[in-house]
Amino acid sequence: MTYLRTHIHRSGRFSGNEELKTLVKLPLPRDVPSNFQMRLLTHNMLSSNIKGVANGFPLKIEVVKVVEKEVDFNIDFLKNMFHKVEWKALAEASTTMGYPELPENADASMLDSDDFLHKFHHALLELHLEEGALVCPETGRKFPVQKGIPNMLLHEDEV
Amino acid sequence: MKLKLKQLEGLLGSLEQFSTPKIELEQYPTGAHIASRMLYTAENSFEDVNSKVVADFGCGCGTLGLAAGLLGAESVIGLDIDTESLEIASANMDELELDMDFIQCDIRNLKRRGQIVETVVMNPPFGTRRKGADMDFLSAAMKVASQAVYSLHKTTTREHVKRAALRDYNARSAEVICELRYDVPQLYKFHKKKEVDIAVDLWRFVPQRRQERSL
Ligand SMILES: C[S@@+](CC[C@H](N)C(=O)[O-])C[C@H]1O[C@@H](n2cnc3c(N)ncnc32)[C@H](O)[C@@H]1O
Repeated sequence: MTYLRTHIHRSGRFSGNEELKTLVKLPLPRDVPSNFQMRLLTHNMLSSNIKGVANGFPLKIEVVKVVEKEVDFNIDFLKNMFHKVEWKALAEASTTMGYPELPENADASMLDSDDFLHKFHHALLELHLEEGALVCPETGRKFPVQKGIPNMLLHEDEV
Repeated sequence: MKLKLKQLEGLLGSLEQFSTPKIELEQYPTGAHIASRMLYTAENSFEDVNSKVVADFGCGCGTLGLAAGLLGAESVIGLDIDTESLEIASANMDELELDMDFIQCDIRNLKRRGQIVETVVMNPPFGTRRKGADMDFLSAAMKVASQAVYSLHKTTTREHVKRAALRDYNARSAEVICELRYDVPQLYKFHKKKEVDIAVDLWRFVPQRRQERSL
């Protein structure tokens, strides 16, 4: 597993170190994006959509490369998302990505803890799968993730 | 600081567009004029963008999703079937120094999963190549969005869209916000004019609140 730390801006706000960003960006040809990412937020809403698969969630993660990015901390957003994410899937995915810090079960009372919120924030938004695969829990079919983009396209016989 | 409409339009105007548009996928760009108005209205009239999770269906070069990012969406996810589109969208994202997640998928095979996505914005294929393509997108968007769907449809289909949304796609409301002119590049060789100007409606759909949202 490779870890790479980059600092980026998001939502038009500055959240990192400009010089570092330029350093990371410079060696790449202009048209090759440097911002590869698949966050666990996105993983949490994906499921295997192969025909006949009854429970395609959660997709297992095969890690080749994980990237971490710093993202602004937004407490209201986290509190809102807490009620929407499937916690078990997130906690498991986070462990697979090399960050085993989320409790297996969570309830809303934990939202009072700063420590909990920061871990939740990190797992949900700052861990990115850059290279690897998402694996259908029922059939084992692999959906490749390349340059941070999961390819969920189905073959003809899977539709 | 809040972006003004003109600033938003200016930023979107500099984005790279399809280099070799695929006719069968109806790859015509959502212009900066329309895209800026669409997202500006979504944010300033309805508060459907800032701090939300926004998905851009058939994101193409990413104009709508990036507009959402510029207006402060907490997280933006772009979905498209086409690799080249996603590459252009990533490059555009870099250019604007924004973050966006991408998923390569066929919107028609999308399975609803949870209620993470609050707002869907899209410029679906108008269905001129494959009949019903526009309605496939709408149907999928209404399953995924928990708060609102913004979409463009040909004005000639207005009655049909409204009826289908309310009757078949579980919409609580379906309103045309405004009528716009859309330049569709003339993609067929035998046509003389370079562009045709068609009337499109900007819609806002609100899905029913659902208790149990799993499929
Ligand atoms: C009218 S264009 C949208 C343009 C986009 N809003 C932009 O700013 O560039 C329609 C897009 O839908 C995509 N598309 C067409 N059929 C699709 C499908 N079944 N699933 C996913 N994407 C599809 C095309 O590749 C194209 O990028």
